[in-house]
Amino acid sequence: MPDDNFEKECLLICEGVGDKRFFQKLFLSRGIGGDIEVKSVNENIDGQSGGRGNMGNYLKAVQENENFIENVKIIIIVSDNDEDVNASFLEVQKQLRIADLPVPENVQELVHRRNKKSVAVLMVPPGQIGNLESMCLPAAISKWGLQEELDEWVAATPASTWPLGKQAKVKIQALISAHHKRLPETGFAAHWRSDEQLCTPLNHATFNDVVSFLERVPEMLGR
Amino acid sequence: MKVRDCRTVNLVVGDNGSGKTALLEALFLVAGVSPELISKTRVWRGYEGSRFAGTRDDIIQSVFGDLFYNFDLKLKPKINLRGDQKGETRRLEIAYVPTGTKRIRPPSRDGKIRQVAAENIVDRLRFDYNISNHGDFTVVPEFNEEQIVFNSPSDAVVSASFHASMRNPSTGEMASRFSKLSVNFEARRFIETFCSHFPQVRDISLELWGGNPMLYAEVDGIKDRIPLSNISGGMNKFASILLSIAHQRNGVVIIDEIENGFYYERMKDIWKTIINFSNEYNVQLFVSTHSSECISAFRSAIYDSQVKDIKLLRTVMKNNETIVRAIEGGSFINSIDHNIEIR
Repeated sequence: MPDDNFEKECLLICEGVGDKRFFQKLFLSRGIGGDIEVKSVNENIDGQSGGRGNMGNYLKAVQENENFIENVKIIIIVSDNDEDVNASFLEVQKQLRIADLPVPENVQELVHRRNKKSVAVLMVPPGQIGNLESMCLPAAISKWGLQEELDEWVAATPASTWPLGKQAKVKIQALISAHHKRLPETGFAAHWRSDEQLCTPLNHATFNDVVSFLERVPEMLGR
Repeated sequence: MKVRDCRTVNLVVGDNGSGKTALLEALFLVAGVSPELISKTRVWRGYEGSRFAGTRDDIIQSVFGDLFYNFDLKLKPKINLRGDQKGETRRLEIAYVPTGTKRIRPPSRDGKIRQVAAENIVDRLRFDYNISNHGDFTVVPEFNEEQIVFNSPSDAVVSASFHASMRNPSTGEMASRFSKLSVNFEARRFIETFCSHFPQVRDISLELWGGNPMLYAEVDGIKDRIPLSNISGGMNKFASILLSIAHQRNGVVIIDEIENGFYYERMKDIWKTIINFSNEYNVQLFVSTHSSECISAFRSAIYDSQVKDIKLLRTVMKNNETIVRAIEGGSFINSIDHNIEIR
């Protein structure tokens, strides 16, 4: 069935399904996000990847939905900083222009334009290079330890020359796999659906900046 | 309600009661030059009976009341069309003049005030048309022996057909249209197109059924030709749509709830043929649907080069008013491709 679920006033759009599940779990864990609907790019298309480069067309598509037109007031775009904080933000700005939406000059800034939804961009990890996995890694290590072992192991693999964000993906993947005895093939995206004891802990301070920003949503909505 | 920049194919969607059918009927009504079309649309909506009893006021309120906003006969409905060929415009304004008296003051040559006369007016309904290149004319329905009679003084019709969602195609109308194609040696094109969709039908011809002309089909495994409508309601509907398009060259064909009667797997090919036929005969389509499958099939039937020729019109009821959201072809297709609901 086509996606018609645009009932809340704030729509948070992230790059992939793993990010979507992270935010849904974070909202439950921190008791926030009551006004926020989380979607990921291309989530309704089988076999189609998400990613920042597809955000523009996805955003164009959702703007034609009647529930979106009627209910959504704010769009929050979430994207990874990857290896270059500025270049990644510039790419998000480009996607917003493709979608003919307001383009913020700065991250976490809410911008408005007549007859358009307001837009803010949240880059993760806030102010640092990396991605969602590198933001989650300190929380995972706080629960399962093994930091030195992970560092040594990655140093012994071809990943040793990879950017830190990609190394973080390798490390957290290994940690999650090693703690899912029944399904070791469980990946980062899927593990958010596991029991609480098998999930990266979301009460960790590494998420506080993101949570602080999202706690401002009611204020952005004029409440 | 305003709808601008309609395209060759206009898909109309929207919730029940949001005004889809009203939009299509308004288009059909102003395309013609006789309010008699109202009687047709009433029948398609399920109203029965062509004889009326009661006062003129009762009959006008019953038969024509829903043409007026909130059934308020003081609020005159107006429908305007503007075409892109030769800048043609058409306007229809409907007015109800209630029973009463009108004061007439005779002209005075000497400045003295004379007695004011009164003229009795019987309530009546006026359909005032203004059509570029044809001027103004008025049609007033008359009540004659419990029937409503319309006299249209003009033939300035737009070639338009309306396929109602709940109505089976008229066999007589189909026969007449087929006959015209046959006379012009165009029937073969229609037959071949039809049979390419339904290969079990080998040929279509015009025969008499109880003295009435009707389309008959030669079908695999059946020794005699049989009425087309006996084989399948969907086939009959498809034939009726193709015949309408061929008949209304340079005109408009309106189809309400196109998906009714068609097997879902056939919808893509049916769309392709309807779109190709409409291009071939230069016919503008206004087609409503409730079906997500039908919209997906439509998308599959559209080539990239045709995207600029399509538009989605979504009727929405907002604060008790119908508004139309118009979505251009590219955005419409993009939303379907992202599996976003656009109905």
